[in-house]
Amino acid sequence: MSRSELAYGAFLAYCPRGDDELHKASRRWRDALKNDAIVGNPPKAMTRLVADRMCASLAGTALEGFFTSRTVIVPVPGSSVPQPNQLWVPKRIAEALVEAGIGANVWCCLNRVKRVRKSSNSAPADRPRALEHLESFTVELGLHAPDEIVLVDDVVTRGATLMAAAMKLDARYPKTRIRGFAVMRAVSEPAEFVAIRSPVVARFVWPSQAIAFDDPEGIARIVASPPANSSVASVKPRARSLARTDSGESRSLE
Amino acid sequence: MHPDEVRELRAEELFGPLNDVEERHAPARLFVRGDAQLARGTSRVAIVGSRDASEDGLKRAARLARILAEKQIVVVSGLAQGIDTAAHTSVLQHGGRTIAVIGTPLDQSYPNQNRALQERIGREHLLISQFPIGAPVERKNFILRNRTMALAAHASVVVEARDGGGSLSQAWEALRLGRPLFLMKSLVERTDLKWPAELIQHGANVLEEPDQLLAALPDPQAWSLRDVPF
Repeated sequence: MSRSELAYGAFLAYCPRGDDELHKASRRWRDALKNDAIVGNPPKAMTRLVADRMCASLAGTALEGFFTSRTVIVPVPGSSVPQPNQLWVPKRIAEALVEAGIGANVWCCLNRVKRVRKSSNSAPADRPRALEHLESFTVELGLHAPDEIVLVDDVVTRGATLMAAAMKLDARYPKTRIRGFAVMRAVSEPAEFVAIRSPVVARFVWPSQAIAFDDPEGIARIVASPPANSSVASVKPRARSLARTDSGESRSLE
Repeated sequence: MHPDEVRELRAEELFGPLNDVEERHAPARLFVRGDAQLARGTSRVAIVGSRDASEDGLKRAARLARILAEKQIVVVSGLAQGIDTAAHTSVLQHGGRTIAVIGTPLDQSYPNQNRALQERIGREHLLISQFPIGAPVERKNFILRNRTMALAAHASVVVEARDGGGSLSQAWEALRLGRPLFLMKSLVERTDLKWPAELIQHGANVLEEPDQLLAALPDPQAWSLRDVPF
């Protein structure tokens, strides 16, 4: 486990809190993405819509050049063990990107063999750490090591899944350049949320591996040292969970 | 029931556009009676479970249905005996809205003692069947109905279920669709059942408080976004 940072890109952003119309709209688009709902005009699957918009509008943004003709796109597994024909949004994103001419091909080489808690349903302290993710993945061996891999996920909050997936692939393909990409990244503070469309390239950095995996908040910091032409996002540890509620005894179902 | 009250719709006409994963098990046509608007633009949660449920199970189903009704969330169930009946009845008692997805054609009831409840739901709420009037009632219908119920709901809750019960086909379908699935904590704590652990390994959540369910529900407007801001 030698990796302590991961370069990543994101095309859109959402704000998990906040009552402004923009905040609410961002969460609707996140929900559309997580369900691959049919949206837009003319209507199409959200994953296709995102790929088409990226294809048409990445020039001049931080994401220009992020994907190359040699990029092998690896979808990140969901938090649980999949069943056949199950909705797997990252795979659908990956396929839509390649169909739109972004990246070389899709390679589903990462498998989830043990469930981890779903980050979106967990309080920060309860979210799975990178180590838990790491132990729950297996990697299928390919014939040749790709030159570069971009791990693709639908939504990224603190990067633990992407980081663990990268570490798992590092072990198999130590000479391959590995980066991450999520269609949407979470901007925790409503005051810092500016727009749904906000292409960025940045890095997740763990201060040290020991701290990273035992960090009670489990927060990866995005540091201000991205590639020259990229914008930088900042993530602050959140004081409370989105899912945390005022659960009194009277609300219990049991 | 007057035949004019029944409308035949495609699944996407009733629920809105479907992606290919949703289309896979969606019935080619649905027969509906009542307020079809309940199936679109609303938050919908399915409450399902055993026909021969325990008293505690019936209470849990009724309580969850009441909480959802108070939050203006539409409760979807299958009008079967036991958990389904408790859920529908509780919603009606508390002024909520409900959808019944049934395993018989709309002009038949199973069990027969739910005929009056079915009539009221068809008149004041929404009744859905994928079986045309005159179609035979077969055991497999209820499995197919459970898949349709998973499609109709943004999340599903299994309150009580036996090994091999019909609720499990709904549970697996909900997971396949990528929709949140919850198992009541009391169900997970039972040592005589193996399938809860299997469902959890594949993504089911343990429901201890209704707020967990409310937090997991997507915004129903996510299915009607047209103006793209990116």
